[in-house]
Amino acid sequence: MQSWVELVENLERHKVAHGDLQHGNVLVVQDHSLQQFTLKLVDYDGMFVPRLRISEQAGDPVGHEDYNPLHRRFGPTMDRFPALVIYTALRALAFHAHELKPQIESGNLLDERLLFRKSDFVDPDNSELLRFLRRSRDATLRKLAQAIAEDARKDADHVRPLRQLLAEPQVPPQPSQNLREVPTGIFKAILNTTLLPLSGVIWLLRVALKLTRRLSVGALLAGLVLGVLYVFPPIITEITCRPDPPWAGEPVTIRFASWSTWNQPVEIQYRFVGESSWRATAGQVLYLPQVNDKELRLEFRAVRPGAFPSWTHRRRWRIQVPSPFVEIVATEPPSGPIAGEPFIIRVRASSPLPHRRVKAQWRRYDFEPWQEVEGQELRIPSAQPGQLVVQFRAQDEKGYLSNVVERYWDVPLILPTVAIAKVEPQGGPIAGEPFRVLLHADSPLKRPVQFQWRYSGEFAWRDLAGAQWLLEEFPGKPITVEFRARDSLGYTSEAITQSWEPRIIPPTAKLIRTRPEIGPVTGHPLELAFAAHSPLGRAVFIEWRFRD
Amino acid sequence: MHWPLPTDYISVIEQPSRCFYDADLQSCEPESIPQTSLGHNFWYAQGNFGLVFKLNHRASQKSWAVKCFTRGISQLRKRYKRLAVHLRRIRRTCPYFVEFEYLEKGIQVDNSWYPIVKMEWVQGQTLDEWVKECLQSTDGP
Repeated sequence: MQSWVELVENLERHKVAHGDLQHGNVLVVQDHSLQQFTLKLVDYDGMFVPRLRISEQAGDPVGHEDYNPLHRRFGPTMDRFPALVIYTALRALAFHAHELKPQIESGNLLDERLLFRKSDFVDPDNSELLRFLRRSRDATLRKLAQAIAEDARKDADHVRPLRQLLAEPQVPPQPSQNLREVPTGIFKAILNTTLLPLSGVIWLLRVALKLTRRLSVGALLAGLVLGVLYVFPPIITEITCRPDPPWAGEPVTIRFASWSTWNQPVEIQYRFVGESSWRATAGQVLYLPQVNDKELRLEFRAVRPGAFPSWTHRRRWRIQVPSPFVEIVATEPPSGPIAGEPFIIRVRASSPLPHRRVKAQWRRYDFEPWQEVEGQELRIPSAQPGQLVVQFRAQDEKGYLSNVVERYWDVPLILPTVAIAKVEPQGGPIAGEPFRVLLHADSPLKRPVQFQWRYSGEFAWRDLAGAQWLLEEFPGKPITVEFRARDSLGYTSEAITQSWEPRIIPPTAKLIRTRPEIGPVTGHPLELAFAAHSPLGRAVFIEWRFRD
Repeated sequence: MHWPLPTDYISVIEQPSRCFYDADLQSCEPESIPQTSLGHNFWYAQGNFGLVFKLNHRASQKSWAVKCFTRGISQLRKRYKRLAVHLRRIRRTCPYFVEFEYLEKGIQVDNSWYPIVKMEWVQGQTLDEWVKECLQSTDGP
């Protein structure tokens, strides 16, 4: 395949076109001793060479229809499209040999043809083959298939040369470092030329000879002047670049204005600084589909058949990198995140080139992978207390990145509070009586709250069913209880510790009557009557014992 | 101009000493050309504008391909003359063309002379055959 690219380039450099490039006219000659092959072209009926100026006539060779664009014209560029077709076919057959094998075995392919048919060029959008290649895993094939679809309808002059197509998305060759001044003057132009415009010089001598034979010295001088004018190089008068300066990753259009003797048509050639061979532009416009370098350095010259080429113009354009940028537009809530609450950060990513699609990305830590921000907002469902750090950056469709924007927020912890609203009885607990504590909690974030309690010294907290703590029978000793409130997200208030000492209210007993009234009498029963009273209204029993 | 038919050429090619004017070709013998696509050997290979015959020169072990025209191309002579001049000039740097010679007085059919192109015979495979073979040996280009 590389041999084919070389062949195509070689012919174009020599301004030769075969006119009927197709499978049958390309011979692969194997040299078995050297384990290599060479390519030979046969059938020269339709060839073009520079000195051949003929007008096409009906019935003249027009090239194989399966290899040629819809409108072919006899001329130096007529091989471009067939060359592209053949290269694409070879590459596709090499890359997709497996997928194409059934078609080859059924005789559908490689039988008096390579891959493409005329129908593929007539209606590229409905060509199954081109569709297949556009989805190829080989990026070059995708590009070539696109080029075939586009160029099939173009005039041969506007079909891009194969080498240019292959080189397109790649970085242009690194130009040499030293920037020389633009050489001026016709002598430099002569020195720069590798090939003297022989035809022009011969023409000049011929005119001169004819005139000396027939006419006067004046006419000879006139002839000389005309001759000099004939070989006088064309001049590039203006080079404009759109956009200026170019954007990296974007196409560039360079337009030329030129002058030439008698306004003869001029071809503008260009090359990247550091290259040795010149490339042709399409007319007076150079379209580079993408520029990637820090600098675009090009050399231009104008050529006209029969004249010296113009001197080389060297131009340098600094390339702007269209770095996207990202900014934080708003947050919800605007004051910043609160622990446990959702937090929304709205970002806007944009590019200096309005048509580029830009996406914002985010991550929390340097070691995290970048994630895409969906719908221009980052939604954190629940902020963690402490500090929230988020990094943002923007990336455009060509992969250019913005600077990283980092933001810190302190995430405050807003806790519920708890207090004792009321105790029953109000005077404090009474031993043996029920004791009730009514609690009150406040959650500034209006979260539902659950009360918890434990005896002091315990580890585990117990949940309370409601807002009251009830002890059915207060023990006869002091107790210490801790309370706290826990909100729905698990954040707890500070605990309040409360000790209560029970009041002990004992029953009273009073001797109300003795019988006999005078006191115990020996030999008589003694009857004592007591009245007992409990202030709490409890049932009271009287107990007695002998002393000791 | 009226051009001979393929059959006219085939009828005269078997006697090179009579039909050709060129001295080299007169002492040659025609050889059939294998045609993979047709499956058998043929006297000639069919081109777009004519036939190509293979002629072997036994003494020098050299082979020629001779193109005879069956259809007219405008300014045939001018085309081939200019072509020859230009290709000879660039031959050193552009090695993709075979040597050829345009002979105005080339082949005699029915007592009139017709032009031929006498070319160096190159033994090779056409691109489609070569690709097919490469794919069959599972060894891509």
